[in-house]
Amino acid sequence: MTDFDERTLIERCRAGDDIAFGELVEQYKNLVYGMVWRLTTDRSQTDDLAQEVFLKVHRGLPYFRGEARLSTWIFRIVSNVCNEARSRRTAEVGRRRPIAEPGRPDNAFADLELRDRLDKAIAQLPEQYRVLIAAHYIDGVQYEALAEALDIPIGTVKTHLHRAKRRLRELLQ
Amino acid sequence: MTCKDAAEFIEAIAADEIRPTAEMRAHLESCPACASSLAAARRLEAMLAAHGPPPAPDRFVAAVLQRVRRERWRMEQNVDRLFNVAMLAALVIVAVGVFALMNLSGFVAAADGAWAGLTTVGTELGHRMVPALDTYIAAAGLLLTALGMWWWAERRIPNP
Repeated sequence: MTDFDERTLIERCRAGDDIAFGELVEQYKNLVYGMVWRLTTDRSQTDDLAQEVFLKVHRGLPYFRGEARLSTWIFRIVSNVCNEARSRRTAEVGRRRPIAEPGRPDNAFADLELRDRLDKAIAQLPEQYRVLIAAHYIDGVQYEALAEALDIPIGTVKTHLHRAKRRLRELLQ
Repeated sequence: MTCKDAAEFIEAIAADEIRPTAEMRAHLESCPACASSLAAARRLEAMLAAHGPPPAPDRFVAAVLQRVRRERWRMEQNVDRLFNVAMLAALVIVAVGVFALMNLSGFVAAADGAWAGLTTVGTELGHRMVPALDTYIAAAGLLLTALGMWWWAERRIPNP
């Protein structure tokens, strides 16, 4: 989507055009859904949280000045929504259930087990690393967008990603 | 090059972000621990790339739009409630204001004794209203503002 198309779409959404907002959701749904899926520890919440992200986008569009790219702004909203959800969940559940659990005994297939282990290893990463891993391995979020969204230099994004992967490697060993 | 130096580059090499220099290559070929780390880093890179999240469900867009409409409808309900309360408050204020004004200006008392001569009352009323004209204007302004808010809210919020 070009900048012009994006601006036009935002203007149509601001004018209350539901079809335009549907197009916007269609455009970003996989990015948002994927990031939420990666960032939340409770997968059953993914659908609800991803919808909440778009509700916040809808509420915030009148105030979106266009200084950052739309994807960057949405990315920040995803991060905030997942953080809030995690805080709520932590407050509700406390420390009854650790984030990292042993592999499910009924997980018969090796690839599923590997995915399961990877998920749990990602869940154990510090927050800033989890966000980077979640975003970087979903199409559409490049180093530049991550740097802009997190307000850090590109070099720092790369360094953090490398550290995150090194930590993941250690966790998986 | 030491293992500590090499460790700084293993992730970048595994992600194909940098090409290893001759010195790095020589170290990786001669150090089994670093070679093993690189192999593990490459496996992890492949796993992360392959282990993409699932796409959004088919009904996702429709579900989001439904929630947006529901939220808009709730907001409209709230504006309606707020408007009704504002209207009621405005009416009460206007009624109290008019009554107080009539009472202060002596119209209520005068009207009691003036049923016999409507012309006299009309004249007297006219004379007594003139000094409090600004209050009447303020009350009318308040009423018009309330009506204006109603009109604005009705236009601003489309029906779901």
